Amino acid sequence: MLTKLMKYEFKATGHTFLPLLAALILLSIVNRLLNAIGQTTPMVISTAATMVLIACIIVLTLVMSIQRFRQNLLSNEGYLMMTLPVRTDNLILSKLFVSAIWILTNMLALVVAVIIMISSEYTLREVLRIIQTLGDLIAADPGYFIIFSAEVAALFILCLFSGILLLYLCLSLSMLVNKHRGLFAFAAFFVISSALQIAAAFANSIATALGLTSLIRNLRLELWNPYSLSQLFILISIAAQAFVCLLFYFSTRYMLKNKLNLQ
Amino acid sequence: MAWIFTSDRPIYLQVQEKIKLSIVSGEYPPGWKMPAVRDLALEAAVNPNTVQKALSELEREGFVYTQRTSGRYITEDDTVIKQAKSELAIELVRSFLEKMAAIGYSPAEAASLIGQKVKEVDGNGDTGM
Amino acid sequence: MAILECKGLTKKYGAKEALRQIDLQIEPGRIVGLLGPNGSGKSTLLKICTGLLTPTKGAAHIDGRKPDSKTKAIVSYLPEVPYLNDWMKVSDIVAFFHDFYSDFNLKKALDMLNNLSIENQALKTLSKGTKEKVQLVLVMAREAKLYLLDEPIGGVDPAARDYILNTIIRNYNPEAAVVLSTHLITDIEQVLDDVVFLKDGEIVLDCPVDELRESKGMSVDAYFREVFKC
Repeated sequence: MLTKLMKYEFKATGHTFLPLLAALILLSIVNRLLNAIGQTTPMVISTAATMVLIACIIVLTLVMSIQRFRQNLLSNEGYLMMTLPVRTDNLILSKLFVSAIWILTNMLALVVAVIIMISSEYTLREVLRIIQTLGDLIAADPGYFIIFSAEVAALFILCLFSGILLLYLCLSLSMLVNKHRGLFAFAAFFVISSALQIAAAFANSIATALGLTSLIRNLRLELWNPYSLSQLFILISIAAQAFVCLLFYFSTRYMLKNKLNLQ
Repeated sequence: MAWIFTSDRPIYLQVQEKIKLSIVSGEYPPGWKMPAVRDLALEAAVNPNTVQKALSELEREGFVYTQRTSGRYITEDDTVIKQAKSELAIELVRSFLEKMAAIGYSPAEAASLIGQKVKEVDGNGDTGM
Repeated sequence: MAILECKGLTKKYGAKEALRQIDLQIEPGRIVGLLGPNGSGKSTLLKICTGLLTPTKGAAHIDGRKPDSKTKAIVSYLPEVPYLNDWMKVSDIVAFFHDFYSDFNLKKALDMLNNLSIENQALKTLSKGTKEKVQLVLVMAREAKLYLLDEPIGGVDPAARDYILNTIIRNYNPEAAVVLSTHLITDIEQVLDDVVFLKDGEIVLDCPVDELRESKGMSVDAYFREVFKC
């Protein structure tokens, strides 16, 4: 059922994003060509157009994440979606995964567009050089590289998920009120994100008070090389993000299951 | 067209009477295979369970019979139909006399009025009665 | 066994009680009218049975289970509001139902759409009346165990009303129950087996139509007017 839901989620969003991404790539190629020809005025126009398009895609990616959840599950369409013979988990996860996939795809497309626009013999040579240096580093300690990149990827994905889930939670919480739901969701966003920061600062100061930080610092260096120190911080961050994700996820799920209030 | 029902009595009774009338008048001839319950329900725009109940009653009274495999048929028993016809006629006369009494006609006066009317109709011969 | 059973069902919105101690049993093969004026709790009751709302106290059981993804697979619900999205075509939403409901009868749906001469347009270009018809087709083309129709005949023209009642009779299945809520009971009582009157969140009457007519000597419509006299 999750794959079926995701299929329709892609269909619902694809016809907005795909043309935009195609336009972006096309425009960046035009840009590159104009640059090569050396036409100044058209180039300025097309660069400006590209910038506007990029801004549009960024804003739309955010808006789409919010809108697909709010409109599809919490408004009239919710009468269809919330009575489907599927688990609430699958409803949330399908939105979460598709939203995350679009964010990643759009980021990738932006990177590709920028590379196309600025590509020149010089930049290409520089990029190759960086890749080569990176390759040398990896070759020096491939095991560490694999672990490190997996951890960074995991942390990145978790941050992405927690961001999207925070939006979902705020939207679900807005069902507690009958009027000014947008405003309520906005307020909830600020309250929850500030609460998280305070909690993080609090955890940090507790750790300091307990002497954990100094304990780590004072550990004998032969046991703790700089690699393992950064490892420790990444792992703590991953655990914290995973915890936040679960917290947001289960709160959202609770709201959808028990406090559904369609308008 | 949906059948019309009065509001004071159970609907199944009215469905039952309506079918009985169709049998007596020959609209549903003896031995005729009746439509399925659902089709009859659709024609009457009535709940299928109500039609089912009316048919069961009619079956109990001997107006229709069920052949286990092929469906429901109108009875071929003349006496049942004739008896129903006369019962219906007697009921119509009774209610007619009641209405006449309400406007001050005695049964005898009502009967003579009918006799007079019948002569007129016979005299004209083309009133279509 | 009852396909729908409510026991001591109570729903509060804040301090306001929308439903109070509802006890109700609906058997397969029955067409039940849930009658009451606006605000009497009809929609709330149906929403609890679909799992859209959770009761404050008591429970509704569908085929012996509390509403969940399994009961949703056997309940076909027509809400009062239009829920069609604006990016699909008629054929897309039909495919959507076919994809998610294993009891969806594709051929039946296509036949019904065809009989209504509904073209394969984008949903957003359909008129309000046509949207309602598409939703009705989607709901009635399922071979569900329990149909919950919220105000299916409210605000539609007489021809559409006849079509809806006709569809309910045509799709009659002795294994399935139909519950339809309405505040307009004229001309529909002959389609019903039973009537349930809801007044201020409580059941004030629950009996077969013909029994009511027999004992009161009046139509459900007339009795309804008497009970809910202003």
